[in-house]
Amino acid sequence: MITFVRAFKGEWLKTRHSLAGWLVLCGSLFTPLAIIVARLVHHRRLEPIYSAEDFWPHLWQDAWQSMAIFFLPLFAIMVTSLITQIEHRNNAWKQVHTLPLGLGAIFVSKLGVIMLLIVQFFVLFNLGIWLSAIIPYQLTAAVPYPQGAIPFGDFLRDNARYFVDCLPIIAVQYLLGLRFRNFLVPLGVGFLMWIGALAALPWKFGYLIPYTYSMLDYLKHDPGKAFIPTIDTHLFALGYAVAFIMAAYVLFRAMKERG
Amino acid sequence: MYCLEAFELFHRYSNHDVVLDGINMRVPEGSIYGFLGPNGAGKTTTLRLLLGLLRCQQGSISIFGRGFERHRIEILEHVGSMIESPSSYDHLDATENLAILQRVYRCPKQRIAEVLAQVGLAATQRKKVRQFSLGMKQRLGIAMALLHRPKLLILDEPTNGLDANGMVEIRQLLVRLSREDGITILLSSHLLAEIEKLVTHVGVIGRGRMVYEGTLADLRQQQQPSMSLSVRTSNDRRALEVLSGLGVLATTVADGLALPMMPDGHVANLNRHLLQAGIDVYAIGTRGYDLESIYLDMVGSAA
Ligand SMILES: Nc1ncnc2c1ncn2[C@@H]1O[C@H](COP(=O)(O)OP(=O)(O)OP(=O)(O)O)[C@@H](O)[C@H]1O
Ligand SMILES: [Mg+2]
Repeated sequence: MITFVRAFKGEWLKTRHSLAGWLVLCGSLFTPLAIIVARLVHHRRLEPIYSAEDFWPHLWQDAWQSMAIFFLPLFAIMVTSLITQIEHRNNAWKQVHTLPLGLGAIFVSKLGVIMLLIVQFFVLFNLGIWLSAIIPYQLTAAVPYPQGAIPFGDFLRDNARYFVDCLPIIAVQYLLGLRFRNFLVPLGVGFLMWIGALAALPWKFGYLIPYTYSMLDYLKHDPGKAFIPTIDTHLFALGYAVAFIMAAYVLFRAMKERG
Repeated sequence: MYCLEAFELFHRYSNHDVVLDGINMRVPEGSIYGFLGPNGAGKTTTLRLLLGLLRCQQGSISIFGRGFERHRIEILEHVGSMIESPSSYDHLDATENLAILQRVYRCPKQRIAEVLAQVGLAATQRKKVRQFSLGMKQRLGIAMALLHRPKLLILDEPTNGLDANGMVEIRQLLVRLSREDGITILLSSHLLAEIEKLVTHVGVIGRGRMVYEGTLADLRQQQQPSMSLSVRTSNDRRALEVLSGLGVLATTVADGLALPMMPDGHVANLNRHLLQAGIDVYAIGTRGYDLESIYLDMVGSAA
């Protein structure tokens, strides 16, 4: 545990000045920003929206559309590739493997950094949604303060679900990123899987593809665009995540040449 | 007492070429051990094995008197290394690179400034490693190896890419570390001349086998019997006749005559006879079987 903390501190420092921060910022705030701009442009039509009782659930649902289909899966693909690529690109695996750290600590600390970036992404996105409600209210005189209370419980539960949904993507990408020096491999496979997932949405076994879960989670409010299975896809997501993380660790241990 | 012992190391890469074929290596505590060999001899492969970067296929390694496989983490706490190119992160500056290691080794923060000063990088400020020259990266690599005050330092061609000044600086630094802190240093090189002034012990590897291992002094001793005199004249054929008349066994070589070693008086006498015979003498000298040629002989004979 103590070695994990040491390893994690080191790993976190490596993300400084890297693209990771920008990815988090852009990926999480793009949609809220777009909403803000759209609302300011159409500020005359805002009054009924802000007076509505279900203002918050509506906003939440709007914001998650692009997120669930597009930003979240792609962010998971890119950020995982980025973190694993840091070592390959700098020829630094040999440095990492001569540190007094067990393989487990190295593996888990890197994964931990990715998880923390994902959490940051969620937090910023939630904050962004709140801002996308508040900023138009502040800037336009005629709009009233949003009616209705913020349903924190529902939001928290949705966050947790989407978080679980993206875990299998991270697990597969982590395996590929550790394994392949060339960053085009994890990125390429990731994009293809994402496109495949989109294409497979109407298929009744689409839920077997580990990249589909955030999309299915969103589209269950919008049936017709996807085949929504009756079973709980979150269990599938968790199962895939555990399986691929274990596979990644086994492959990581089995490497004959370390850097 | 040996700081590092390797016994019968054997290695083949996945393409089935046998690269190391029974390497034995013993690095005494407190020594500066020069690991010499031409390109492709297997130096880097050996050092990678010693650090656990390659899986040990056959043979055994012990460092600080403990088996490497079983005590890997405890051993690595006290080993600093740089293998081939330095492994620094491009998007960070020198201090940040060292800060990563400082977190992992839990050494005091002021060590960062200390090692940067030691390798002459104190003035790089916030410059990113991306903007470093090759020599600066190499220096940073050495600083990274030194940060946690290791007891054993393993450096693969540490002066690669350094200018003449930098080489001297790094050499002085290594000697100082060895003398003042008692650090054991194992460094590889393909040039004997480069490390001759630095090392106490040498191991010579050629085509995956250790062809010599011992102190530098012993290696020098070996050259004594094989020393000879070299003489260059205006007419080597006539000179050969004169010399054989004096009872001196001389042979013609590429650049003149080779004679056995003899006392100074005899040399002067011989010179006088040559001049009296009307032969001009251009040069008399000792044909130094220098370390370089000994080394080349050894590496050649391993073929
Ligand atoms: N990853 C690898 N896969 C296959 N063969 C390799 C690999 N790395 C090195 N070799 C081979 O192993 C042999 C020894 O290489 P090594 O890098 O140990 O030499 P070296 O003594 O360090 O040489 P140099 O002075 O050029 O650094 C070479 O013939 C090389 O082709
Ligand atoms: Mg080498």
